[in-house]
Amino acid sequence: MLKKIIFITLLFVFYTNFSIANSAQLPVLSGVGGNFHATDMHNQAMQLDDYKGKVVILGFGYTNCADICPFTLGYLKQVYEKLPKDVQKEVQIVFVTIDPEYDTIEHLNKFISHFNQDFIGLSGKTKQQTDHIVKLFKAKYREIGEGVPIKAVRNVVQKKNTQNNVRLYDHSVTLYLIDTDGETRNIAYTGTPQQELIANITSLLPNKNSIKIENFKMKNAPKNARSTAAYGQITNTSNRDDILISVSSPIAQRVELHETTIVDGFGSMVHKPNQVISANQTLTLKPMSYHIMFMQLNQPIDELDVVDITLKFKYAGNVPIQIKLAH
Amino acid sequence: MLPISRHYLYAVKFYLALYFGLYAMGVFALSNTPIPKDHFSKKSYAQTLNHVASNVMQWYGQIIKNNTIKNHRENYPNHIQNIEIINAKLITEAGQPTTSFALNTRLSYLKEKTLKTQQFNEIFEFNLNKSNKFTRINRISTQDINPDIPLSGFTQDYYFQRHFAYAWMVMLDNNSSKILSKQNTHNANYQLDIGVKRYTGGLSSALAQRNIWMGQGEHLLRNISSSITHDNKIQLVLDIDWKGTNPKGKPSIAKIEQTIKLEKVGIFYKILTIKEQHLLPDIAPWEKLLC
Repeated sequence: MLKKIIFITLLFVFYTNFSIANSAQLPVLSGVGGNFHATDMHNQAMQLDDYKGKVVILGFGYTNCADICPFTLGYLKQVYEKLPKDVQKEVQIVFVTIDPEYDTIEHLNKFISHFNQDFIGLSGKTKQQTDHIVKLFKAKYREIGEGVPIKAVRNVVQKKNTQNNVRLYDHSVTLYLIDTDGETRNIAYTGTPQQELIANITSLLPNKNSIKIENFKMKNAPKNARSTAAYGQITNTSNRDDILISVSSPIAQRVELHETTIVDGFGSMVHKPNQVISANQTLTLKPMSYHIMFMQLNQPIDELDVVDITLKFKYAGNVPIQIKLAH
Repeated sequence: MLPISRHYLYAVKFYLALYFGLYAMGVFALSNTPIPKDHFSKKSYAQTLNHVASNVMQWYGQIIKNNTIKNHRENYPNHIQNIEIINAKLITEAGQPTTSFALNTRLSYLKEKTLKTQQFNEIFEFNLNKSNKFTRINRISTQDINPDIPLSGFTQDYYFQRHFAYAWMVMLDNNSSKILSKQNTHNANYQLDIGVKRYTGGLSSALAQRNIWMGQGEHLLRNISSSITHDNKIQLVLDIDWKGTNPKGKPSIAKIEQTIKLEKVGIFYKILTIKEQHLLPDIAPWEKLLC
């Protein structure tokens, strides 16, 4: 009966939605977070920017916390384990200790690993650096008890030491959702419904299947041509704008997206780096318009059977195209 | 078995306390931050409000203890002492060039050495395409009232400070000054703190740097508190919500606190220093919870 009460209570707490988050358009929280230096639980110097390219969930706490920290890490463990394996590789859970004096690297490692081997514990090593990190994220902590007998503290993991007394703290319960560029995009806590947090994490990950490639073909070029072009359709099927950052191919020294424009009857080609392809829109590449320009060909085009091209998108990542040539 | 049961009971107590604590905080926090339904859906809401409010604040400041202002002054009694805004609503209609600002106010004035109070419902009409100044005041109703406590504190300075604050919002929105003159901003020192980034310099260069870091957006003034410093200067603390797009093209929000030190020189406020920091935006009622 008691288990049922606990289960219903937890369910009630978990699924009460306090958040106004909108996973479709999570705004950057200006001035919240940013790069900092710390030491990880493997005793390696690191900085938060090392995780650029991954979605980071960052929280503060300490290993002697008997209430919210184990609860939060247990919550994150559940969320993390619900993510597909390939998504897990793109997500980093980070726990920053507010008690670097007690939470030695070794102990932090043991504590964090208890929840999940992929989670990372960080220590600012000094109170000054810890305070800097806490301030950066507009978080707070305060000491609420000093000289508390260690026996009175309900530990997740016992520390091997000679210390009989420890400090206890109050601290922010906020979890910071940081995008692949290192910018804080939302906050959550253990009461945030797990599916909501998962949706928010997913919304910040590159959508690798969002670009659709159709009808690509090469321009008919003379045998000894030093340059050529390719045409086709590039469709962004996602609900957010993407940016075609660059184009590459092994067949030429330089490969770029160009646009031909006619001014006063004269055509000119303009390099179009960082071309935005709006959500649910198609960029059509055709003669006298947008096209992929191959310059300084490595070998005559009629000697090739296939042309491999890689389009690099900001969110969709690398999108390969292969054009088969019929001679 | 007994210790385990007790453990569960503690857990139940803890989570119930956590839940009701969060619920109470949620109710409190939300009730304290009323956001108009259309605030974030209309791109120009805050910018329009800043223009309009700046103008009306200046108008109220001008008519307090001043009977000689031309145009529209005849709508008000002489010897106004205080004007208290009870309610304000910005009314815009899509496709219409006019904007209206409806105000419900209480106004105290001296008549034959007796303090009297009236309640006004009036609408200021603007055509912001042509001018920042209101074009007409429509008086809906005027009613004599007897408040339990006489109005106080809503003085000329109160309104001129608000005029300044909203004009400053217009300047921040546009990164240019149409309302604040160079006299207001000359030699102002600006300290800007956005996360790990800090810039200190003159007003123009700091605003340019601010633009680079923040991108484009609009400022919505949430609160103004005013005090006099020990060196007899005016200090305004402005709480501002900002919404826009950062330089990487991502939607972005900020909760900004600006501490502005001013000196009153004749009829205008000269900015001496500005300190700006970005705080955690109020997006979740539990965000200040410590456990």
